[in-house]
Amino acid sequence: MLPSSLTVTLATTILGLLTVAVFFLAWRRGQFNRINQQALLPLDDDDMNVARPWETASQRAERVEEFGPPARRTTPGIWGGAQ
Amino acid sequence: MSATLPARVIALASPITDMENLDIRLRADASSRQVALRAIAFSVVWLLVGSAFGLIASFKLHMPDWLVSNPMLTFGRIRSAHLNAMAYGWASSAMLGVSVWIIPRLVHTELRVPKAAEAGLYFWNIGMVLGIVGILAGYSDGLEWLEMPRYWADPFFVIGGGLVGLSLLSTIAVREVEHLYVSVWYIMAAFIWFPIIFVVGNWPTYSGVESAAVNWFYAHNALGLWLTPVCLAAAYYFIPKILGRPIYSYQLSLLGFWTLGFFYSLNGMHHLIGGPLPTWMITTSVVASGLMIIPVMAVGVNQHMTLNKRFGALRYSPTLRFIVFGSVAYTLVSLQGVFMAFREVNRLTHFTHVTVAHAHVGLYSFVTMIMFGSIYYILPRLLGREWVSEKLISWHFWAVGIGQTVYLVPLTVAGMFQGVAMADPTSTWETVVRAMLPGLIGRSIGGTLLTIGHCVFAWHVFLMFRGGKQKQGLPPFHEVAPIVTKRDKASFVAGGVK
Repeated sequence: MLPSSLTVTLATTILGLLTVAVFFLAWRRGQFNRINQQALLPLDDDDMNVARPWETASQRAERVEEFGPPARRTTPGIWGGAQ
Repeated sequence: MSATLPARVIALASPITDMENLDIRLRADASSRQVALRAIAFSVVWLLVGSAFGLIASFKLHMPDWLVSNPMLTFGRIRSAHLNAMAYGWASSAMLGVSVWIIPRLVHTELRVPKAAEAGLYFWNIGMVLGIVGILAGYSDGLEWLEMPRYWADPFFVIGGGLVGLSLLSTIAVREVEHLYVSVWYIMAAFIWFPIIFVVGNWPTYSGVESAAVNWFYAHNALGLWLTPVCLAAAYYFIPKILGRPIYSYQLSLLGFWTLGFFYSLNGMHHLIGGPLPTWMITTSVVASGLMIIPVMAVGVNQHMTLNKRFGALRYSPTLRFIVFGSVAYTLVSLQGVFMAFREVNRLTHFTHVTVAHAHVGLYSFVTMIMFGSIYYILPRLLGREWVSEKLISWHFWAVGIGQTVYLVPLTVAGMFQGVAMADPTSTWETVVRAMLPGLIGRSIGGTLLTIGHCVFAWHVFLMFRGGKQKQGLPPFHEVAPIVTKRDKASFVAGGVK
């Protein structure tokens, strides 16, 4: 039994323990603090205060309320130049 | 200054202004530009090569006498060349490019040791050439997903992946933000997991049953711990970016990541149900496969809720269209995989075309579609110009979208009939094979559509690199806005409400 399963058992154990170790290290380092703010990390200001053409009026109003008034100037091409 | 700044300042290491923000993004993009562009170029070449191999292999299944005189073109070699060209050439090269582009943006710093990443990319692709030539020449290692010659080709992948990983991990180490966004976790983990599973899988000492066990440990994890994390990272980056709103629940995204890490590596043994392995190994794997419902639903629910009530965006952004297609496919293929891991279902589907179709939902509908979407977003920002043709994007999407349906549905149905027929002791082998023909022909028609879509995409990418004629004003290089293809876009005034 053992010869056929040894490598896979060791490999999965190492991968599992590595993940557990990194998880606790991340916890101790505060990586799980301020969760809701972390969600904003990929977004820049100009991601959030530019209204989207697919948004409804209420969604645009919601965006203004959450992220402030549209601050971007109109730049030709940013909404697509593919003709 | 936007109303969100206070929240973001908490998450970031130091307060930044709009202009600093823009500057960070520009520097991040500039630092990864060379590597990402080359990775995308290489990946598209492999996409075409892999498609040609796949198409030949598919036609051979119902035209068995076609191209049999040359050993290089026999099914065993062509099919292996197809799998390796698509998984390591197309998907992995694209993933290297996407990772190298996303990480500097998310950690707000320039890519470190870009020369190492570039060298890694070349090593990877040299390995690809040697590997494919080796397979075609008959020097396959004979293990699924590990066919490329162990001593000629595989070291190039270890060195290549290691060098790109070194560049990415050192970039993360000197990051300018305190927290790691979930996409960073996924990419970082993928570049740590992959060398471990690849070296274990290719270790030259196994034989017999152990070889089969290690083979499926590797093959299953190649999808779950290499391809999946980078693609989910891309989805978690691009969906909020295009919608301009954070993901629905960041907690769920972390739950998805960590449970993937905890459970996935145990999954592979369900491929060997019925094989001469200890029962506890198989059962552990079946249980772990069942537990995969947690990360899968976490991702699926999160991405659906992020997009909820904004599905109209799919008409505007090709990136979003491809990525949402891929994300939905991730949920479907994972749930399908959970059920296929159960012994009762596995008895029917094992050794049938259901498995082939399932693998294509994973590697194509999920991985490939997300990579297409990522490239549609990244390339204009790196080249500083817009995609040349809205029509080409549309043709690409519909060719591969319809192609997948035509490919997958008949093959899955045929595979189920195949499983039932093979379980029937009164059915002859010839009867089973003949019953498969409609599914196999459907597969070839679908594969042809996919290949047409790939040619359209490759041509469009070529036009982009060549600097095709632009019909627009300023390039979107500085902008974060999605690329819009809807015809009535002129009616929208960016930044305002029409």
